[in-house]
Amino acid sequence: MIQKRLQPLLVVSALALASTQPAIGADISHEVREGRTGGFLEAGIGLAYDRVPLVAFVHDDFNESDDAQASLHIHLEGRLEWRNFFAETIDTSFSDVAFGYTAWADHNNTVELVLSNQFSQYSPNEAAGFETLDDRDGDLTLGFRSLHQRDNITLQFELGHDIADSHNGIIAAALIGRSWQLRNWNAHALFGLRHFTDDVVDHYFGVSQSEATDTVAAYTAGSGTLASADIGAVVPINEKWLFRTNLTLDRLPDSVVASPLASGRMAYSVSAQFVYVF
Amino acid sequence: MCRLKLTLAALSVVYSLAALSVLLTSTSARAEQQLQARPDKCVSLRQGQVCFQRVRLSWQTATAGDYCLYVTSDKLPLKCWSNASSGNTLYSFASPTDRQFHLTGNDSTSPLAQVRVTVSWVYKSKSRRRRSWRLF
Repeated sequence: MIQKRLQPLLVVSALALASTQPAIGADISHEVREGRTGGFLEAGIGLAYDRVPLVAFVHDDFNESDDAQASLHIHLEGRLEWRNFFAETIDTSFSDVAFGYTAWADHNNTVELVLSNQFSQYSPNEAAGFETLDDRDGDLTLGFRSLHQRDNITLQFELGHDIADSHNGIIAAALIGRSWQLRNWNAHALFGLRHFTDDVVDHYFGVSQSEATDTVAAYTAGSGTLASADIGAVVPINEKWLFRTNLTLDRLPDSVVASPLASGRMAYSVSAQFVYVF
Repeated sequence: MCRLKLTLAALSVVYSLAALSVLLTSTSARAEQQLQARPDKCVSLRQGQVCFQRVRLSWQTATAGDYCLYVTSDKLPLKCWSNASSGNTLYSFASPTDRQFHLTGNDSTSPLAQVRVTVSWVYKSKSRRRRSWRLF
């Protein structure tokens, strides 16, 4: 959730041609929610209520950065598959957009080579009192993602390294999800840990001596692990429309919470949306 | 000669009307034995999932009698009625595939009327893929 500032539209035109070729894969947040669906394209609209206690993520005023905010949420999600190549944008995934190649797959497992962003550009200088801070560039990580499914349980492992010379750090993640069918509702629960090396955390949440002011102290961030939990449910309205609801909780790493750019530890998002499946 | 032609024409009209009457009577008889399911569709999230739906099954016939309603794949009836010309029942549909229902009279094993509740889905299920290593 915290990496979501804008939903990139880079792959929209490509996804408009989304293949219906059956295949395995897509980020766990989609797999555990809707099951193994291959190429797909969805668009929808809904309401979201978010709290992200980081400067300039939701509010420009630091004193309000702890407050939650309701917003209209435009939903766009899809995966295009061509041979073993794929492009995907999954709303609830940590990455905005991912491009990749499925190196190995069987019915229950996939190993993919993935190029994705973990963080979009972050501009804390949009908040009053933080004007001296520089923009933090978004990253581009190259790495592997593996997905393993058994019965209703899905596991995902990720390992990526920044190749955009943004933070040059490493990001590793492990997630586990489970789904249940309750009549025509499909509920899911997802728990994940995402570790960032000190290069990553310091790039986004550190404050250099040259940026520091009387009110914003210099800060060097160490590595950190983000813990996330996600529960939700989806029900079909007809063959083309879904209703989906979700609650996501993020527990920020200590090294982020200690930053002058943070005003709390817990971030959350509650959303409800109507989704059209093309 | 002219009178003969008129007679033949009149006979032709009478015959046509009679044929039409028989046809209409037949259609009407069929229409009088009705079996309906509402709703007649169940939508699940994924192909292959069990789909759940409360379905109202209702029937009516031209003549009162003993009738039974069946799920076509089952031997035992869902419900039977005595000396009735109409009836309805609520059925808890739970199936991953379409299901057909039929109405029979007590004196007949052949269906008097049939109706199908279809199952559809949002996401088509994936087919099994062969195991493969493909690194460019």
